[in-house]
Amino acid sequence: MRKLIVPLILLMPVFGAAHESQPLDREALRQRLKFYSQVNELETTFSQTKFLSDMGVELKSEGRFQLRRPQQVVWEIVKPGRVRIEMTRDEIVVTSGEGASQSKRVLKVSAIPDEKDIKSLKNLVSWLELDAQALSEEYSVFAVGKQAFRFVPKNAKLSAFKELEMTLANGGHLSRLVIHEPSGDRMDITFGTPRKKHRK
Amino acid sequence: MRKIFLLLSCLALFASLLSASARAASWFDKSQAIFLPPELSSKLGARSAFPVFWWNFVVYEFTGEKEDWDAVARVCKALKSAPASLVSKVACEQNVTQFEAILDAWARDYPLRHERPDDAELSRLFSESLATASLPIDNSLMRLLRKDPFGSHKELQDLLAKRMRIRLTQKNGYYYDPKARRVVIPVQFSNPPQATAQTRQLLERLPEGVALLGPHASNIENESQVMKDVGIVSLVGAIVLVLCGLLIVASRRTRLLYLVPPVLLSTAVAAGVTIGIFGSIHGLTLAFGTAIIGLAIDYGLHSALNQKYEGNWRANFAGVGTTIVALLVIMLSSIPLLRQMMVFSIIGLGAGFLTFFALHRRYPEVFSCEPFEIRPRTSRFKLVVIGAFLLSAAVAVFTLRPSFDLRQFDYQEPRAAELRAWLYRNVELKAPLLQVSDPDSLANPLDQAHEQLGWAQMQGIQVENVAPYLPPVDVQRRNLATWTPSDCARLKQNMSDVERNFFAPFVAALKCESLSANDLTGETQSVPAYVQDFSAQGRLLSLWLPKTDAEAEKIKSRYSDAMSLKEVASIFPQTLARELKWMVPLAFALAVALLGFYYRRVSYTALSLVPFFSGLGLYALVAVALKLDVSFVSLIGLVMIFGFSIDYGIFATDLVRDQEHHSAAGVWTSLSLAALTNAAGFAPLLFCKHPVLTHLGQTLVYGTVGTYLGAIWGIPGIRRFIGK
Repeated sequence: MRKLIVPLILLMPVFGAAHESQPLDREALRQRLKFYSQVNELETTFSQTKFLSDMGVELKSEGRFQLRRPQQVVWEIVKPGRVRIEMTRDEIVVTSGEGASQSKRVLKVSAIPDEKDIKSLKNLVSWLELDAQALSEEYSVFAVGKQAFRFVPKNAKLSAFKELEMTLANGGHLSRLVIHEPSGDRMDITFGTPRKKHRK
Repeated sequence: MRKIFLLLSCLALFASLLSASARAASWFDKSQAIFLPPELSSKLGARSAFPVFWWNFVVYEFTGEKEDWDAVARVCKALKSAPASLVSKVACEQNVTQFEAILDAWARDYPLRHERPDDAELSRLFSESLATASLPIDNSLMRLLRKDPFGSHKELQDLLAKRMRIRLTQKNGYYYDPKARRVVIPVQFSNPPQATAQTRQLLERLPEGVALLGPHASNIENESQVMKDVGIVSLVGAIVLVLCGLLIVASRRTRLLYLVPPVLLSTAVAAGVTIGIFGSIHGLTLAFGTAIIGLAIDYGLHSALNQKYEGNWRANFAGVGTTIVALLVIMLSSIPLLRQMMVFSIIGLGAGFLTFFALHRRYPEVFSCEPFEIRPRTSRFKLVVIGAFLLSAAVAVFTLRPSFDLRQFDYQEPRAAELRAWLYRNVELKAPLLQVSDPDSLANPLDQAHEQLGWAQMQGIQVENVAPYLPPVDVQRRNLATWTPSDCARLKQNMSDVERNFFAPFVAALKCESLSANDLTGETQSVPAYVQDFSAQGRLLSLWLPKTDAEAEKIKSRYSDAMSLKEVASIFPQTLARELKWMVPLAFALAVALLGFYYRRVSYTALSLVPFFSGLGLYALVAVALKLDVSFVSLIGLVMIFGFSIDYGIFATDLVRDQEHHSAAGVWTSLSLAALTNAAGFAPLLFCKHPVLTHLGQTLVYGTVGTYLGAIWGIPGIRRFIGK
């Protein structure tokens, strides 16, 4: 047995490395994300923990995520406070608060520069469309487990994120997303089971 | 004598260098305020004193087939990387960082604008900010949220968004005209437009192919063109003077060169005294005044070449007297620039005259010089020509209408002018009415701003001032009454650990015990960063934006001190035109009176004026024939013409009155050399591009030629004609 364990132990880093560094091409990624390929509309809940590294603070929030293809995404935080971001091809609408204290800002996409303040939002909501082709173009994708993947931006300068880790549930939908920001902050988002409408 | 000459030369050289260094010194004045009476120059100064007028526009034009947005990004990067001492704000790829100081001040002053929210509302505001912080946002926005838990930056963003009125669409975060293929990047400088050294530093950082438009760009353009023109004038003028010098040396009349140092010395003396009186000397004073001081050389020439005549210095005195009398009258102007120019000219001319007088009396043999054999003959043709000049002058006196527009001073290269016209079509740069608070007024300027805003809102008229950014003082005090130390302590106590940790910068900055109202007078507190655009030198600016003439009239009827820049700019020409109406006749009358006293005969008095009218007439004829622009700068030139033409007239009239005791060749040689050096010295101005220098050159060159012909053809011809 010992004779078997040692080679096995020696081989484990190879297996491990093979899992972490196994790149996925576009077709393979499309297969993994096939849950979303036929979806017209999708709605799910999420709960999120953002780790602010320099403050040592965790910010917890909950909300809803809606996807309406083509190119409409709604990311709405309902707890601790209300902030709703709607993104379409042409504009981003940020609504804060509700009722009399509600404020709304509309940003035209053409007016939005590449500066990272807004680019982060653009990157997140664009990512949430889960378009395998677009993701393959922007990221190098690695499978790190059976349903776990790592996304590394191909051009770090153009991306607002340092790295993303995605976990799919057994049903093929997104169950967890961990975003590592260049500042050292980390967003850990857990998604509920989505409700969807398929393309005809 | 040689020692004295050497000493004079050294002194003159030293003084000239000192004067030349005035350009770099703080007592060299390049401002425009000097054009206006003091009580009105503050209005013009408003344009450059208030940072709201320090916005310029960087324009990048795509020249290739494809739009090179990377190149535009490089321009944006160059602007944003400029130090804060050069650039205050850049409206491209905007991020929170460049507005950090403003947003910090805005967040800090929340208690001045709002009562303390109740606990439930506070909780809601904190939750909302935390929700925003949970999004993937940049560090700068995170820092802002930590200092501004109430989200008050959104109200500031809304206020600022209303101020930028550019009609262009946006692409990739830039203002863009797809038709003209031009990108516009608004830039606010950190210094006023006259700080051209700093503007040049920024221009050096920009890539090639970029144009800058706005008040700072105009100043640079004008300064650059004047420097180029001065370079041309200096080079050509130096060559001309050297050639004149060589002519004098070749003709073995080197003693005439002794006449130069006293002129340089008196120029330096005049500059020093003028700076002593006014605290500074304007560039235009140096430019024009120096030319007038140069007239002193006429007296030196007249004496050196006509020593036979005992009445030399009597004639010279009459000449300088008539010139100084005219300058004294103009010195009564309410326009500070004209007063300074006349003081400089009178001191310099007087000092030059006295120096020549003293030297020629003490060392006559040193300055004695053999004249050229110039003996002009009269002819009917020459008389007819002079007659035509005199007729032209008579007509010009009643018909010549110079332009008094201050835009004469604004040089624009053709390309810049075209870009400017395109930009003004796309940027709402309607001429606003400016209203500046009076620092000596008892009324609080912040309260006045609110009164203006209230009235404007009732009338549906737009006004931009500090009022939207800061409530009146009594409202601030009411708000602050809810931010007692115990209220603030309770606020902090009720925060959760996460909130206390995240909003730690806000908690640290909130010092309720030291909050106090800010009335923007600057006496107890500094002016906050978010209203500094409208604040300068203890005064506040209000910009009225009437859409119609009727609205403008309404504003002016209620606020009589509200004026457009156009109106302010027109004060100078209106004042000058009004003053010239009595100054010109008075100066002329006094000069004629002096001449009358000198000659005691109407005929000779009139004869001595022929060169002036001849010069005026020839200039008027050329102006009509070549369609020259005639401006108030041309009038300044005519003042100079008047100065030396009377001298020519006196010297020539004395000669024809009493040929026996004169050296005819000496008088004609002195006149010819004086006119030659005048014309040669001013001819390079004809090749300048800046309108001020071009107009001056045109007046002086053609005026000098006409004056000379009037003296050498006209006076002998008319005398002979009358004698018949």
